[in-house]
Amino acid sequence: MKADHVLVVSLRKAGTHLVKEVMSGLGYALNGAVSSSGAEPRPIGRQAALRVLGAVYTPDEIAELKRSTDRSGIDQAISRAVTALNRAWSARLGMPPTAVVNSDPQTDWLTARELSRQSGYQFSDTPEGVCWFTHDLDLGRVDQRFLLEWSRSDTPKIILNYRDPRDVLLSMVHFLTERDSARLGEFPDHVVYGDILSSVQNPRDRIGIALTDPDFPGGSSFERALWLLRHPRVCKVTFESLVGPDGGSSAVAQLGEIKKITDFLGLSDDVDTADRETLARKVFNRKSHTFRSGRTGAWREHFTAEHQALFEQRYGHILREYGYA
Amino acid sequence: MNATLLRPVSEETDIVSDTLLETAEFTAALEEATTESASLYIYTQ
Repeated sequence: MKADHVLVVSLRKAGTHLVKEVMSGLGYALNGAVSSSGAEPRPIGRQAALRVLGAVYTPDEIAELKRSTDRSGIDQAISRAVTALNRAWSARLGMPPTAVVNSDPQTDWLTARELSRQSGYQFSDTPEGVCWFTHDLDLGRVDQRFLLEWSRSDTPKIILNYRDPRDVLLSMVHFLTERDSARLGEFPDHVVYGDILSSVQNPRDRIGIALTDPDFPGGSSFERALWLLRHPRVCKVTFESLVGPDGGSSAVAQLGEIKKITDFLGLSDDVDTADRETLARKVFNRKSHTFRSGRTGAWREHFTAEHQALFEQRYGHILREYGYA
Repeated sequence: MNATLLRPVSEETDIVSDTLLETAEFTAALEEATTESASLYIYTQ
């Protein structure tokens, strides 16, 4: 049976756009730390809509809505509930608060009230058919009820996506240095470190900062994701396999990775080899907001011997844990 | 309330009591409810 709720933990600059293309191709709506520009709103259905209302509003408020003949007012109330529930779960998953556009005081208030609940909420209250993306699932920040729900019901299905940490670091340096506001998104630390790296003229010095600054974006994400890497109920995929032949990998590895995902999500009977091949052709999307070169092993061309020594000193154990040593 | 706009709520949910009624507008709004189209992180075009 197809998994109704999916959470992709894709480390920053690890090829989130590749997983996004796969999940979108499998029919999931996207939510969270991923660009959804161009995505059409997806019907959630009566049951899910009622569940969302029940999660956000009180019984009295729902009864009032049910008696209302003001269609636009009901639409607005439902829309606010969907937004408030999504924002509440973003916070519960430990995602950093970001600047919000198109907000209104009522939605903010509903979000705050939802977050103030001490019990009775569950991730499965969110609409089905949605794949959430986050760059981090920090055990110290994620809502403990979420972990209990996942532990007891295996909801949501969790996928971890990662990449050679050396390529991740180099990609982040390039990404921040280019400071293309259309691609930086609203990550607060991207904005800060974009300013910092842009003030450094020598590219080697920028890599040096990335290797030594404890707050450099994504600098400790591999360590925080170790529990996901080790957990038996987490599906692990890598940039190096998913990127396919266009990015220096192989079609066989790419198709194998896609099959791993479809099997994990209970889609073995619904997605055949031809479907996976069709999906694979769409994965390498140069139009992605965060796409740069999509290559593997580029760090070899940019790391000096000193960089390599610094990397080994700080991240050597990570390379070995993730299988890149 | 206009009785012609009302229909019984089915037993499909425990959120609201079976004895409550819902307007046609509410029913239609539920059927047409959608996911959000915006991502958490706003990428400008």
